Amino acid sequence: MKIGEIVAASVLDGLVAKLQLNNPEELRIAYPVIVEGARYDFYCLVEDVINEQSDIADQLAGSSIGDVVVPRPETHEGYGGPIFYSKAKLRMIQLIDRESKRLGEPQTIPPYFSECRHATREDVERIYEPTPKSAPLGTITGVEPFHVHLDFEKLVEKPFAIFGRTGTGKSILNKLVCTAILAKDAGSVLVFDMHGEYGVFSKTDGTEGLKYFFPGKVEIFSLDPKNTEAKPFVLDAGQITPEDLIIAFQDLTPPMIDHIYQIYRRKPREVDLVTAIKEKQATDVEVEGGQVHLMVLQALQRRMGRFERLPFIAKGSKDAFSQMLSLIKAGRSIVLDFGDFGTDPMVYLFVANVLARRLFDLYTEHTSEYPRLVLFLEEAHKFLDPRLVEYSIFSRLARETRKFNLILALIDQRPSRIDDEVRSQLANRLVMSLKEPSDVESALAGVPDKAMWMNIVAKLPLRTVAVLGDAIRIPTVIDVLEYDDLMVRQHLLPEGGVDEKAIREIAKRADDVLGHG
Amino acid sequence: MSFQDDMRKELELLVRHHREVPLPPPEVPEFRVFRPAPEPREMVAVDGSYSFLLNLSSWWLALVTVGLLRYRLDGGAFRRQDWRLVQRMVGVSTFEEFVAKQDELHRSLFDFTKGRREEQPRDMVNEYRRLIEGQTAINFADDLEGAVVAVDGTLSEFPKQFEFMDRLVKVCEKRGHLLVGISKDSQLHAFGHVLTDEDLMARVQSRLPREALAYARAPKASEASKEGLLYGDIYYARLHPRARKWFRVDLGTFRDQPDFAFGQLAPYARSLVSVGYPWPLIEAHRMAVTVRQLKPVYQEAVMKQALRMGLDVRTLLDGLTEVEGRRRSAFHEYLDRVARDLR
Repeated sequence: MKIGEIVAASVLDGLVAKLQLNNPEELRIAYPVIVEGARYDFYCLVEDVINEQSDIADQLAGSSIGDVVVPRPETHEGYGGPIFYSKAKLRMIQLIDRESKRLGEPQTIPPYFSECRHATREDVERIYEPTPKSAPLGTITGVEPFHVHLDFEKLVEKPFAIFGRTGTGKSILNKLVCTAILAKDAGSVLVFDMHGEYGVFSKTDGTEGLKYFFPGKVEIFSLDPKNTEAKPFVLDAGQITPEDLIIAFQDLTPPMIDHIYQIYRRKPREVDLVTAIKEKQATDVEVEGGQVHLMVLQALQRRMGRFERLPFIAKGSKDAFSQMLSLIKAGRSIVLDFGDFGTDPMVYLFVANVLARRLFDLYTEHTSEYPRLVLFLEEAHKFLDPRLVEYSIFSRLARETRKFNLILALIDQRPSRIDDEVRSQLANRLVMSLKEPSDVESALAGVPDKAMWMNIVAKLPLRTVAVLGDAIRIPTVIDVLEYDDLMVRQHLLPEGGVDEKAIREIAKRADDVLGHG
Repeated sequence: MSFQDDMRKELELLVRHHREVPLPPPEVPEFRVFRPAPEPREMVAVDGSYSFLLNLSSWWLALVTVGLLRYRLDGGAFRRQDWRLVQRMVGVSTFEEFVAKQDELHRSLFDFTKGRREEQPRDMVNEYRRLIEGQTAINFADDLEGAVVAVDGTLSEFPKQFEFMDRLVKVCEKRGHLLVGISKDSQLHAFGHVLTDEDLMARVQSRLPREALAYARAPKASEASKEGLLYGDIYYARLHPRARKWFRVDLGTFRDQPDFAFGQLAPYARSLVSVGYPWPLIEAHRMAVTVRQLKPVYQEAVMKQALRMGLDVRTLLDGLTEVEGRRRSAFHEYLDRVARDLR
């Protein structure tokens, strides 16, 4: 259906269409539109819908005349003509050669009066061609239902991020991404499951988890001894480094950090760092020489006391890491359930950092032995805050591990708090609604047509995501799939690729444990 | 004495005469109050415009455009049902000996506008426009029945055998149409008053009941003076209680039923875009004036064609005109431009 005609155009600044719609509400930001040029179809996104200021409208508005007919599309046919009309700013995204059907970058503009119309299913099919490793993440907005595919093999080649403020549906999107990665065998995943959402069933909303759909591909470890269904996660205290503590506590002062390093350097080999700090007795020489400040040491020791309450840290015990590693080597994915500790940020920061550091060391040294693993990091800004980034392994992980098959996926609501250098490494961004201007700015740093995308992202509704990067043919706004058993099976899982018997068995056991209805 | 003293003196005179002008007795004009029809007929609105494109000595080339729209009033909404856009390229000459060799239409146009001197080409094209408006309205009205046919301007025509207005009246009578001609601006003094009729109406409308729709017939003497040219009765009407302006309305059919006629018009004059003036005529006007908005496009086509015909560029450029026909290369235009650009 024709919606308007081009009245201004610029390769750099985009197109302006005069609309013939009776009601501008029929068009929204990010809707795909086709402009039919003489030789090319221009695939565009709506950047803005405008009713320009008009003197006559200013004069007519607020009229006190009772029975006059106010000029509106529904009262004045012809209203969309030269007096009152709307315009749309369009951003050219792709050029489609009408004869050869080849796609290209928009390096030219359509002639004046070129017709604009809503994109049809046929148009979008030309753009979003599925690949063997692609799967849909949702439907494109502004077109009859059309499932847009993301190439998950490309997605997991380099670090990527999911950004969005609280309550926009980040977790559901993340679950869909994990599910698609596993369904398409694009890699394995390691998920730090703070709120029990990724196992068999989500404890928060009851939706199915990764283990439910992929019982043979996913293993659950748990920090919480009460979770008997999962493998116990145990961490050898001897493996803890100063950086793990700095990241875990976040608020350590520079003198405290100096003290940790000092104790670490001088402790006997068989004593772990936490015990060494707790048992440190400052000598008179150390105090008088200024090497140890008693107040600082005491503050550190108080903080170390929190480790006593963590049952999964055991001195000299068999560490679960090697077990995890052999599973990862075998191509399995890991969900690390935090159980009751999920509400303690210190535990999450500590465990995630320890595991990531160890994985980083192994992957960089023995790249060829390990399959691609995507490490999902929620609350990423806590690890990648510019103040702490030098102590965290994640900054290096983002920068270096694309070469080593270990890929970082950031999930965060405050992208502005993530170090610039880490953000610059992101090859794909899945950006949901963000309101804070600094977050919008940071989430889109380095993206072409940033100003347009900032506008779009600031106005995204819930459960909608702007996908930008090389995993999708063109930047696209997607209405995220409903995450339920039926949708996942219908759109993500391979036909007959699920062991129904195993699923039923797991679901039954999970029901017993979790009391799911 | 400075120009300011002059200005004060002259302006004082004007203001005093305008303000203190004696108003006619209460029975003049004879106002009639009417009600809008609850379910008005469809309205066919016709308006035209023109744009001069080229002037070569005493020959002018102009494009005439006529817009016609048929509207239905659906409760409170104006629904467009149909439309026509007619465009005709017109060549006129003001050199009598040449015109004598032209067809009858041109000769008639020439005779009718003779004596207008510099305004003659404009008047000739303007009459041509009215002819095309009339023909367009006739053709359309003959295919319909029982509508309101509203044309822009008066229901008059240039004389002799081009009786398009006469034919329009006859078609409208045959098809049961209400025919009206609505003038956007009238300078008539039919009431023989120092104020124009429109101003007089505005000045005495306080005699009417509040919020009343009303009309008043112009004295028949003024119609008689136009006999042979005018095909209707002249009225002035306020088509909405809050209308800013009284419009001259010539009634071509249903002349014995003015209450009915104005009752049919009033519902169409309720658009906030121009309260008191029928919306379909606004739309027809918008269609017609595209000929002025798009003048450069048409002019370019003329230039290309003229060059292909061998006209030299200098002559062609000198012959380009403003919309009203004045040459862009006219010497006073040049002087004006020089004056504007002097710093």
